[in-house]
Amino acid sequence: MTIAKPLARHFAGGVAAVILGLIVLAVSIGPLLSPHAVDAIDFAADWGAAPTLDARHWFGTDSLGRDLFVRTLEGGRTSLLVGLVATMVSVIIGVAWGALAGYFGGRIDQWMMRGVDVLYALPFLFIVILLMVAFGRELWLVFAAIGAVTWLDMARVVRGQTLALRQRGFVIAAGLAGVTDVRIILRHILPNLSAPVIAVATLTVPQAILIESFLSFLGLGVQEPHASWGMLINDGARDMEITPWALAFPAGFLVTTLLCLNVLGERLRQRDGDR
Amino acid sequence: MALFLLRRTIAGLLTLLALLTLSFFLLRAAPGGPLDRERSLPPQIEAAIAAQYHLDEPLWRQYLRYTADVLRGDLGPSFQYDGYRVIDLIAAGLPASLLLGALALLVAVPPGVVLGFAAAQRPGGWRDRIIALFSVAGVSVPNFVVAPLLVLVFAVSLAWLPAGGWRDGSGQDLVLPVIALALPQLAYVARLARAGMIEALAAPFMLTARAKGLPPRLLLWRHAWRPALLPVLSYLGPAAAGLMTGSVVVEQIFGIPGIGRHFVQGALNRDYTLVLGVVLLYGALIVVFNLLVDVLYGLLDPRLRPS
Amino acid sequence: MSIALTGPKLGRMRAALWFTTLLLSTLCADVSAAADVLRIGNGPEPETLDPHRVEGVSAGNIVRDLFEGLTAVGDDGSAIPAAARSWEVSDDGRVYRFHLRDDLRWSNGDTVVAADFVFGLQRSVTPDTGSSFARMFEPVRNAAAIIDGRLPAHRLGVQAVDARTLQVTLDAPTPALPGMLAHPSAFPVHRASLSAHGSGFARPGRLVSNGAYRLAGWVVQSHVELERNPHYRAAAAIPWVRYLVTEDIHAELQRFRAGELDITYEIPPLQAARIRREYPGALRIAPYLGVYYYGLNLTRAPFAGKPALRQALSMVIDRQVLADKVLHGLALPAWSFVPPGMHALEAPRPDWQDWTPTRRQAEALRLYRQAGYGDERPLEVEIRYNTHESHRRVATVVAAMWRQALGVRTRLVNEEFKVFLHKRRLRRETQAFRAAWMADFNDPMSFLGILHSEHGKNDSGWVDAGFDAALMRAAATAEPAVRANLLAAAERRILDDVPVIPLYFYVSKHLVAPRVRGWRDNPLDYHYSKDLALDRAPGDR
Repeated sequence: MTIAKPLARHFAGGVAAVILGLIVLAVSIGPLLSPHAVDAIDFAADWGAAPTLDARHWFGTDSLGRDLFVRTLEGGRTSLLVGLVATMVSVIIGVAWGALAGYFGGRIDQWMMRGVDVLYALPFLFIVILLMVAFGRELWLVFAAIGAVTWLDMARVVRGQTLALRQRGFVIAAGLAGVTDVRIILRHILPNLSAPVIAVATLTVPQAILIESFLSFLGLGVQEPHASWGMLINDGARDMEITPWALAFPAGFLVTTLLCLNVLGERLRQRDGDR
Repeated sequence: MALFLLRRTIAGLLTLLALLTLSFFLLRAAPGGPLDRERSLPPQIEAAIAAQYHLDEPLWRQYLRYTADVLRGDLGPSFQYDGYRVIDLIAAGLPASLLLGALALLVAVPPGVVLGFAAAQRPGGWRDRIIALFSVAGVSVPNFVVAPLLVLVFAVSLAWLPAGGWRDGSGQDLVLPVIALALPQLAYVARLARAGMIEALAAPFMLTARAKGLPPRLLLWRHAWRPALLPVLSYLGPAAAGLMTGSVVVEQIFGIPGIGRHFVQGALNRDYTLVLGVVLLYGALIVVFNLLVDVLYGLLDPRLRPS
Repeated sequence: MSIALTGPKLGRMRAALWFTTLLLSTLCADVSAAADVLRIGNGPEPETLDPHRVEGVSAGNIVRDLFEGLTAVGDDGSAIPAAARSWEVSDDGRVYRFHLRDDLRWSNGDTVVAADFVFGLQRSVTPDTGSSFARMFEPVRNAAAIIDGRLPAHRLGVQAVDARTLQVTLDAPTPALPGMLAHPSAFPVHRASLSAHGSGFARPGRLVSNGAYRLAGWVVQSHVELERNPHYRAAAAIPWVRYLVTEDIHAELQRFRAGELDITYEIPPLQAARIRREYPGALRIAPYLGVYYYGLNLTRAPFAGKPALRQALSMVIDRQVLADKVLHGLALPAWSFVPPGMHALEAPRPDWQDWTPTRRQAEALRLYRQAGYGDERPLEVEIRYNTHESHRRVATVVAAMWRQALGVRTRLVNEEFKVFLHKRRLRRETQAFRAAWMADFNDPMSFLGILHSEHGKNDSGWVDAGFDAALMRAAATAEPAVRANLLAAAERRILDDVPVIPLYFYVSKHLVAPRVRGWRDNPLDYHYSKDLALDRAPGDR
């Protein structure tokens, strides 16, 4: 029993990783397997047709006669990309901020974390909407905007961890030995932060994907002919009584992906806790 | 305590000023203005309107004018709703949004905590699995999918509840929007409560208590709940914010006259004053909420009590 | 242990009780509420109820119930008597005399006099009022000068001859004048309440109106409620009218299906087939005086000085596919700029309209190559449209048609509305752009006028001497046949030079519940609630 449980947990994490890998593989090479292009309209086919094998529209077509299989996978590319890049932005800002605050402590720490508190009090999605309104909807801006709103948690976790690390013998020793602050942070602090950072980052990815889908709902998401899961789901939800598959496939992919990421994140956090 | 409150209030005001400045210039950086219309106006008419709203002044002066007005408690006239003042619009929309948000919080937090604690009793058990699945699904399915589904089932097919609308917050109008709004929050709270409880149960004093042979259920509901609630509590601030933005979707789908919609419509229509008014209001709400959370925190965990 | 169990149990019981109460209160829904109320889905929030500042369709609908103009719009779209009992026109077509009915009252009991209408028109063209429709009255003497701020409003060519007679003097014969006067911007306002409340006069508790209804309530982003005006000469059949904000057309449909709306603002195209099946009697589709088109920026590359290229792009767009497959029959294919029924003569059409697709395609390809493009040098172009589901769908399909027929590389640029309008007006980045125009009154001039080189809505920047001259001469003539010929010639210029590519004509599309009586389709989609009635079928919700 005592052995089985961690094993089971391990197992769930493994399964999640495998499924996630498959999804990544599918969105990377999947579109190549279909005879249809992402923006090609099949004027001959029924528009909004149910999935069939013979016309090679494996997921059916959308209301404009475009192949849903290709669009779902293409949408996955966008969504995963948004998730990854936004998370990277959030990791970079969050780790730098948190590590500096935690390492230097005292007054600097106080001011930096007060800054985080202030930012916490901003209605963030509103700011994202304002950003999109002000600067148009370039994809990189979606990344940056989402990254910029999700780094706060990261900064808090990293700062806490750094505070603890600073008390540890090897960091104190390095300081006494005259190693510069920059070197200490780079050599000793950052490597030891990787576990919690990865755990938090895994949970940031789904958050970013969801924010993008919210933007898509407001019509502020990616541009046609590109797609994202959020955009496809939004389209699908409107006509779910007529073309349920247009909702089911992208939603299925999105939920599965988020599920896996969450399981994985949870697992990483536990492993982190076990140590 | 008084000093603490004072400090926090000042910090809060500074936050709001920063927010105002940021939002003001972001909005003005956006191309297009309130006078760009599908039917373009004759130049003379356009100039007349611009002068009425001081849009013909340099930006910095408009900023100063607006800030001064806000400090005097005047949020200005709406650009889009002719003859309405922003304060009227907010006063009319706030009750709906607050009622919706408060009810959603009420529906989300207590059951979420109970679910989370129940899951934490035996991590990895079947109960935990089911709750985990539910909570991930709840977090992952966007609002704009859940809401139309609810409408389809409960309003169109079963005809139990209205599909939308708002008659001064009558009970039936509230049910579906509140559920749609609360679901993701409930799921998230459950997850936080579970994590908090697992951590609390692993604390040294808990291990001692367990070693003494106290039954786990008693342990959980009697002793561990206090520290286990802390993560949930600190999430309440962001949750309140999340409910507000979630309400943008819900208000639109259910046709509820709340201020979330004012924000989105205002931003798209370049109703500068209305957007800033709503942003300031939300900012103020979050500041107040965070303050409340900190005070509650001190009550639950004496070590963190602000001195 | 037992204590620990009672807690949750008690809680569970309480929860069950609460839920039951909730369920009960739900099941005893207010069945009575709807019997006397006409509930109309009205799209976006009305920006104002001030008739002279109204801009959108939503606000116009409400204002036409609240106020009454000299004329109204009849079933065929022509002007019919309303506040004016009758009118006559001078032989040169430049002076109109309107005779008011003698039983006109404001909603507070005051008598409506001709001077109220004069004041309304003067206010409409005053720059400070900020009316979007001021330009419509330019044919009225001195109107243009007043709009430009060169003359005071009282110099407008509209006079009250006596309390019941109104005279309009025009610079040019304008047969459409009676139709224009059915528009909200020609409505009267109650002078006393306007001066008492200023710009905020159009609010519940303040607004005094002269229509069949008066304003009873207004909850922004929810609804506007009207009640029967007791002072109106003929009491309306329906005591209450509620205009609900229905921004989301899918949500609106669900509310209709749930019995919460009597009339919808629109219907989602994708649901058209199912609606035809499930609500055959309730679906009302009728031609509507509106055109959806792509404007082409003629001041810059790639469209400047390339009529052949523009023609090629227009030819390969299959309007039938747009109307049938993209809009699911909720549109009519547009081969011309002015909707066909509007011309007095047979509408001009492009000669390639009836060609076979192959021939059309071959000719388009020839023109495309002639303009200097081809497989090795494809045209690269941007279509801009504002964020909206149907604009997105149309643009996607047009881009595919261009690519599949000519190899054009199209980039779709979806812009938020205000950004879109701003750029369209600047004519710098914008190349091809989505546009639409709805008639303000039932006359081809209402469409053709916007392509005049000096019109503010001519976003293509089209300057064509022949077109402008034809319009000017049409405006100056009092001879109907000459006018019709000139307008047809103007349309022909559009078809030849292609400053815009018309895509489809709008239809009005509503779901009207069976209990609503008296609904009549008309080309301006004006529906006066006073002409409607409700069946009181038992068990109706």
